[in-house]
Amino acid sequence: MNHLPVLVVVIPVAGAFLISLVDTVRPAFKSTAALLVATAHSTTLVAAAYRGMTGPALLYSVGEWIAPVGISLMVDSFSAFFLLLLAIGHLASALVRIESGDRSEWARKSAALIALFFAALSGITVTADLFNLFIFVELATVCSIGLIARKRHPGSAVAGFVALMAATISGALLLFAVLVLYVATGTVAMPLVAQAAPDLPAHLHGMATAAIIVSFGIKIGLVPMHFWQPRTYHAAGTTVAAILSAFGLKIHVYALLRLLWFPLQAPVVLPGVYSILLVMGMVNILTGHSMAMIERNLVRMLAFSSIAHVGYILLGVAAAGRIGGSAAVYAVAAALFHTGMHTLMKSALFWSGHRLIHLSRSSRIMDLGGIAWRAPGSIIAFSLAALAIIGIPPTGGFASKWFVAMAQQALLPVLVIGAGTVISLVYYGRFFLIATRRDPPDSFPAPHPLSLRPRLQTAVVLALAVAAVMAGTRDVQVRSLLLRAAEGLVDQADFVGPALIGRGR
Amino acid sequence: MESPVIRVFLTRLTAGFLCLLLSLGFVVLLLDAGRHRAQTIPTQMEEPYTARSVAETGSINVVTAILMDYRAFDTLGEATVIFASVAVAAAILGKPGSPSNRTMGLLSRRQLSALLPLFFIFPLFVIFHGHLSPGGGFQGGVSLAVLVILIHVAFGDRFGEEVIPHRILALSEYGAAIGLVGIGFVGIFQGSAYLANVAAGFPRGTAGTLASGGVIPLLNLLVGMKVAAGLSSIYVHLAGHEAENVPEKRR
Repeated sequence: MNHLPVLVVVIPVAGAFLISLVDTVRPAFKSTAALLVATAHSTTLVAAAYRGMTGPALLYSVGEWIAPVGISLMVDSFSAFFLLLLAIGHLASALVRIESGDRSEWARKSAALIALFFAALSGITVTADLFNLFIFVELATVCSIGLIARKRHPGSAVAGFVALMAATISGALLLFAVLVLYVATGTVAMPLVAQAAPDLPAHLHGMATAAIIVSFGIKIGLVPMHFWQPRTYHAAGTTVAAILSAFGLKIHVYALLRLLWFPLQAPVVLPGVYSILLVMGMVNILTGHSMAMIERNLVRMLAFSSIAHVGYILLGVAAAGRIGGSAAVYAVAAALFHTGMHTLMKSALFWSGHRLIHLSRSSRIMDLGGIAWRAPGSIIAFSLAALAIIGIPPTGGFASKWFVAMAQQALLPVLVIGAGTVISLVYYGRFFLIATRRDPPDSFPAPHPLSLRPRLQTAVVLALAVAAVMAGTRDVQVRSLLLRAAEGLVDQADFVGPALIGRGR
Repeated sequence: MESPVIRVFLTRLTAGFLCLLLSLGFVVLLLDAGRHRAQTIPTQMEEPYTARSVAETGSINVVTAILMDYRAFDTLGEATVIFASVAVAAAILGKPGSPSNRTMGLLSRRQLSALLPLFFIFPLFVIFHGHLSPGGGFQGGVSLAVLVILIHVAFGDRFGEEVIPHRILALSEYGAAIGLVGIGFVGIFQGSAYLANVAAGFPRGTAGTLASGGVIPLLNLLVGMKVAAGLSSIYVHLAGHEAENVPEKRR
């Protein structure tokens, strides 16, 4: 048996415990330990993703108990794509977060919490068990609350509380859906639920689907349920906001897609749900972009932009569900392309914004006038990522938006995508003009003494931004990877097959 | 004109009514789901655990067999959630500040010092007999944490910190956590799967005796340690926090 599916979860969990132990016994080595754990985890993730992409689905029975008694884990090409994103995420966040001597309790715990957060996200990605999924979603929630609610930051306790309330509602709804499916089918193993799903009474299936969409809708910021996100990201600060938005959010998108396609069999049983998702996607794009345009705070502006870009992903997803069949693969691939691009672009934007905000000690856009001349590396990375996220050809952001638009069957979503692009050009362009103003104020306030390593951070954000730009010119290679990943979601033959035959004892 | 009191009352009434409606819908839906299952699923799927758990795990407590063997991966996840909660509480509340030294009265303290050793027996029994009788690591661990809290409340935080230093609590939590993750690897090294029990060669023992259930008693012990240390350090953080933030009222 190949142990990679369980190792991608267990290694960072053990790593988080080790980081805490090292922090208590030898605090000086904490950053080294965090970096080692991140490297080990990313290596495992890449190995698992490689196996998932190239071979048949990897299936793992924890404790050698096959479903329905035990918990199965699974890595197929679809989850492999998200494992790759997580590999980038954990390593990059560990590199960006290497500190120089911040000894507050929050800084001490946050390294372990980040490792646990990525462990939970990996768990969500590999599990093939509904209740196990719920546990990892809860673990991710608890870790993110700790990362958000820093002490002695005004408003962060309230933001943490709002996020906690939103997460509680989301968790309760997910538990409710899992409970309904368990009572109705007698199992929580996804392959077995998927088998029973077409025979479920319509109202049970509909309620479970609705609960799951609302639950993950809160997590990913579907428009009526997005209220907690800008406030939370603002309170959490750019470093954590990047982790939550670029990586946490994407894994919840993964969970939503996996649940809709696989255990719920929504394209066959409940295709109407995708029309709702299409409308919600358009609402998300318009709301997110317009709110970002009137926003005066850089972090909140980026947060609203995240809400808008969830909309683009949803448009691709909705198109896939509405077409059905093998054509759906192209639409899913478009959605995945935008997911990956947004991960690169948004982490580059947040982390380069971190340096700018750090230098001027304010995140209000008007206070950032002329800041570009103090941090040229950061503003270059920010501008490259902004070009990509607006969708200027030939960047990766343009290519992914183009593919999402190509997958649409109606004119209206395409027009919405175009409108969103224009609006985002306005607000990113405005920020660029303010940041590069030629008449900077005579003296910026002295930067905060506890500085992260600026050169390393700039190198990381430049790498992410350049990757986001280059992906557009390498779309032939990218496309074969994406199509393979999309096949994993749409054709579930290699997932259902081995799970039902059963392995081990 | 509506008075604020009436408005608040009406809001609460509406909220309560909505909650009631929601829970009613929830119950109806679950009953429906149960009815559907009774009609469609053959009975052999009905109880996959009860008939086989003693033979397969050696634990006569089916709940423990599910928690610590069949679905031990979930338990690892839950224990990690507790670990994360402790870290979050520490991150938000900061270092345990100057602890208060309020104690209970003399009679209570004398009584407790005689009774505490007896109180100690119960959680240990719950943990060690987790595979034989109702209980297990989580339940015993919580009872142990209550004892630590009792020491703090009855004899004052300063005495509690002297008897059971926070550093020791933290170290035993991390140690138990690493042990818990580490035991899973035995399965991998034995050529079986992660967290495997009997399949990895752990002796099943005679069902119903203390030395049975393979790795289950060990997992119970580690989970118990971790939960006990974790919950009591949450208390230590909370107790220190109150003393830190309300200095004016104290003086």
